[in-house]
Amino acid sequence: MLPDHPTGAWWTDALTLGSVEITFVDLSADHRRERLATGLLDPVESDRVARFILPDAGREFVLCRAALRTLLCSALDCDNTDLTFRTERYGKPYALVRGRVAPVSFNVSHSGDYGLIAIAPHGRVGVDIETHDWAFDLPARLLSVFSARERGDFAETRDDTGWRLRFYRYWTLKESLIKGVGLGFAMNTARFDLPPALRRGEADAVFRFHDQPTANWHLATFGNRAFTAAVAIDHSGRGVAPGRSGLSVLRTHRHRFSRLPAGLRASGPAARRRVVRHAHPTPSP
Amino acid sequence: MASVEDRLVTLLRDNLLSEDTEIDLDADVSDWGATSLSILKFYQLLNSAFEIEIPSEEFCAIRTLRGLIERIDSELA
Repeated sequence: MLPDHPTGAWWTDALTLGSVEITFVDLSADHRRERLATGLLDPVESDRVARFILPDAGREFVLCRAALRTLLCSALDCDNTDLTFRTERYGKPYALVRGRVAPVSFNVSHSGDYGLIAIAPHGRVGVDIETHDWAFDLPARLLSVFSARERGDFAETRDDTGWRLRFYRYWTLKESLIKGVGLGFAMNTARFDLPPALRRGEADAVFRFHDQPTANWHLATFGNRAFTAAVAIDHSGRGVAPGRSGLSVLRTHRHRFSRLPAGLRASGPAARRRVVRHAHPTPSP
Repeated sequence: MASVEDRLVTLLRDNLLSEDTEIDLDADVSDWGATSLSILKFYQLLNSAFEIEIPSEEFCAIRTLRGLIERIDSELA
């Protein structure tokens, strides 16, 4: 049974960017939710949970995957038992309904008690969320994942808090992008610069890879005291334009983010969504 | 001198896994359940500890600890 009752959901609508819906998932420990979520997984997923070796990894996966299943079943108008997942060459998952590739793009990220799911009716999408961990060691050598220009920005950031927030901001933007492309760490993130507007602190901007000038990636960043998150959307000419409706949406939702404390609570189920069907995009490595 | 395997396991236990974690050299690393930032940090530590530079795209293609040990061995040979 899917947890479609308002008090049963552990996820909540967070943000809409054009046709892309972004959902927060509460991953805090809750045995009732975990029991319900576990019941939604298929045997392949359950086996995977049993193999996780890091503490909390199983809970985070179970709660996120069950939320994803419920959202996709709603978007694709299918039963949970019809839904299976596979991964592309570099690990990006995609969905199948009754064995056929589902006409939808999605991406999932989780960190600590927070999960994030983005679902797009077309194009490619990537998300990343990082919980702010002020005790987490962020050695300067990690800056090698950034370009020379970006490393220069860090050199000008004197205080530790600003340095860390910049790190989370740049890292989530870069990771959302490489996840959106579907190559993950197989891409060298130091070989491209984030757009100047994002490096200046603006909320969103367009990004283009030099070798893919026709693909317009809409990069947006958001967060609150507890986390930083980013989304990368390849609209392929469709959807929201940065600086217009996308930015206004971000401003609207900043108030919502500010009210999401460390102990995020789901306020209700996601609305049933209609998704325009399209061929599943498979990025070339 | 400790073997690559011993040094790698120590690095993992000190930085990513708990002391009592049972380590299966042939388990798929995606089954660890590590976050991207933790993996990134481990990747950087690994290169630093062994004084090698495994390209990130190659690191990503390695699926098991045994594969990683072989890759480090070849770097150090």
